[in-house]
Amino acid sequence: MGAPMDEPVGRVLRASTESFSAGARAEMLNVPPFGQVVKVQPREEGRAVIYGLLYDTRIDDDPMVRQLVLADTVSEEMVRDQRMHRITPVEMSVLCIGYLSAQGVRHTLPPHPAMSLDAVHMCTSQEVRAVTERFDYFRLVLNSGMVPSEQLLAAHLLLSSETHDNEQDQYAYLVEAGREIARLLSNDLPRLDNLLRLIYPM
Amino acid sequence: MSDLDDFFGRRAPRLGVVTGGSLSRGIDVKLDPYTDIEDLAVGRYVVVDGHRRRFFCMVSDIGLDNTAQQITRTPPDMTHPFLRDVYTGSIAFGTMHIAPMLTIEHDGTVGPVRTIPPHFMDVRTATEQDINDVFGEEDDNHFNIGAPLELPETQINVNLKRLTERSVGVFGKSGTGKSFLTRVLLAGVIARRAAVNLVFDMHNDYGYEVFTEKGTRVKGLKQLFDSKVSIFTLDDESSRRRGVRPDYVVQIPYTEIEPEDLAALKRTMDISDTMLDAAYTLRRMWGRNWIQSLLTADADTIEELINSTSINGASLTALTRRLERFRRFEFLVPYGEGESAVETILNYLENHTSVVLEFGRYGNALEAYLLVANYITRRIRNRYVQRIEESLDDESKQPPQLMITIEEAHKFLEPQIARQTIFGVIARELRKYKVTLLVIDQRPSAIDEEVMSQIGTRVTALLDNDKDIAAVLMGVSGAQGLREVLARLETKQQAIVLGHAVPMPVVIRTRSYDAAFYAAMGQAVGGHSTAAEARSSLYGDGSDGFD
Repeated sequence: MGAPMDEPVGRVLRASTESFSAGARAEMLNVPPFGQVVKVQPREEGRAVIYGLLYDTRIDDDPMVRQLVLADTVSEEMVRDQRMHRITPVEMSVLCIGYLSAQGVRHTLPPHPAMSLDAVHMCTSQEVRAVTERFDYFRLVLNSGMVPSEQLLAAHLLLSSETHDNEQDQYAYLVEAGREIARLLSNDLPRLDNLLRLIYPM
Repeated sequence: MSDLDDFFGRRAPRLGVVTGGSLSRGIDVKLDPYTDIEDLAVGRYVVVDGHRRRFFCMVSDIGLDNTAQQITRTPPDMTHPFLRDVYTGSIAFGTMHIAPMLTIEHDGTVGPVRTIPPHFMDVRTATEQDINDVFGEEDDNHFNIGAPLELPETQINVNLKRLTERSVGVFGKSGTGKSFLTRVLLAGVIARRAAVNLVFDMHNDYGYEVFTEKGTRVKGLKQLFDSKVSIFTLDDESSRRRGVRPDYVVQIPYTEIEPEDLAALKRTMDISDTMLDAAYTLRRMWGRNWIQSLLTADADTIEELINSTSINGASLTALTRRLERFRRFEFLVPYGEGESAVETILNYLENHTSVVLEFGRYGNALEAYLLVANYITRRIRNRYVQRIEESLDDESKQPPQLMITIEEAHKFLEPQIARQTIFGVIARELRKYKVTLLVIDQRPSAIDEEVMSQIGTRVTALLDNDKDIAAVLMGVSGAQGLREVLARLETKQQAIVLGHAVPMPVVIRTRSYDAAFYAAMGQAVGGHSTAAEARSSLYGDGSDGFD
């Protein structure tokens, strides 16, 4: 599905230490789902790879779309053309959850924000396993005011669990993650209960 | 193996971590999510890996706790296994309280506990290696009496020298296997020649074979050790009916009974102090024949006696009535012939042959049991005192260490009479004269407190009376934790051993008294017993041999 892993899914539009936004062409939209772990590959040496969770994807209108939506009929060719040549990018918002240091993945905010036009990639399964091996970033997600934290964490965990080989391992991963969430939300049982219900295996 | 494994040896999986506690109260442990709380039990052993030593501990309590009080008022939906798995071990978790008993240094040295492990140290189930480090291997002085509850492949060995140099108590409510426990202990003492035994066998349980509650036969000590054990009897007829060929039929002449021998019967026969005073007066006046003379005295003799002495008439009548009861004891005879029973028993004991005195039909007459046990023990103890004093210059003259076994011990050792009976004296004087007691009782709380405090090793099966539990645990550090353990023992084949003969209190599944045990004892007597052979015999054919 979508672009090969070594192909970027977008490029950084703007960034802060906490988060960044990436722009992409409309046909790239099917690549990173909500909650997916993505990384920013810096162009220059000396800057760290930044990991984040995709928490929002925004498709803004442009003058052409505004005209087309008023037309009686819109042909397939026109839709494809509009998506190929639209002048406003699809915008993906990403919450930073860590970076790659010399010692491995650190679940703290990166020392520097991503730079504009840095390539944004989806992480491979191995990378997702490495990033999600520990749960130290849960607090960053749960405490962030800019993201739908419960929905984001739930979507992220369900996606990440799929990187484990079999159902038993996936279940064990979700239980461990659930216990960490329980530890963090022990003073807010309704929120905890809601989150656990979002991730329990069907 | 990890570095820690190198340091501590192969370790069991982690149960939890230390979260608090103190040396006096014990240590609090938070259980890991994957520790199944139902697999734990009070009385089991755990080890805490400290930075520099292992702390050998006993589980004394198990509990449930949570990090959010709200969850107790609004429990989560547990119908989904995922939710149950997440909540269990995170917000809701298990705890246990453990009592530190000993420390094991890196070089294997076992020592008392003077400190506690720091926070968040790993707590693990004790391994076979841990148990062996603490209780040692079976050898000439260490006898295997069972295994810890969760480690049947290991063994708990009591130090026989320490066991026999102070008095021993075997306690437990009725039907918990006190006789079997005692038989195992006696067998160990005899097999390893730790002491000679004189057993006052009230119900003919120890000498020859008996039937268990299940109807199976189990061997007596005579059958296990033959020439090292002799059976004496008060009731030849009963012994022969059971197929026993006693080595000696005990008879006690009335002329040998002294007023002091009646002191032990004060409560059982309701003998008052004035009656005892009368007995002393009669003994002084009539000499050794005082009982026969009183029982055959005519009215004129009695009247003259009352008029010429300070003896009160009513007391004399009452004393006569009490002594009349002796007439139904056929082992009491007017005069002795040849060597006395006491001399014979002493000869056997000095030849390192243990003596089991069967009471036959008199086992149901408490007066007979108290009279005979007191009578024989007083004289034997006096002879031991004499021998010990004679041997001060020459150790080779010392008599062998003697252990005297009595049942219904509280009847001899209750507070009102403990000071007046020879058993109270023996219990208090410790190993001074090489005579100690093995007391068997179901009501330890009825035994004099001072006597209880002198009982060096206590082997206790299930007790459910609070007073009895308190009595057994008197003077034991960490008693609160052991109280829970003691009240929750199973009714059969489980006991807690504490005191002088073991390095720390230990809950055991007692060794089965069965064919494998007999074989091990045979080898022990033959001098071929090894720890491995004995270990392999631990649980031969289950608990059939345990009553």
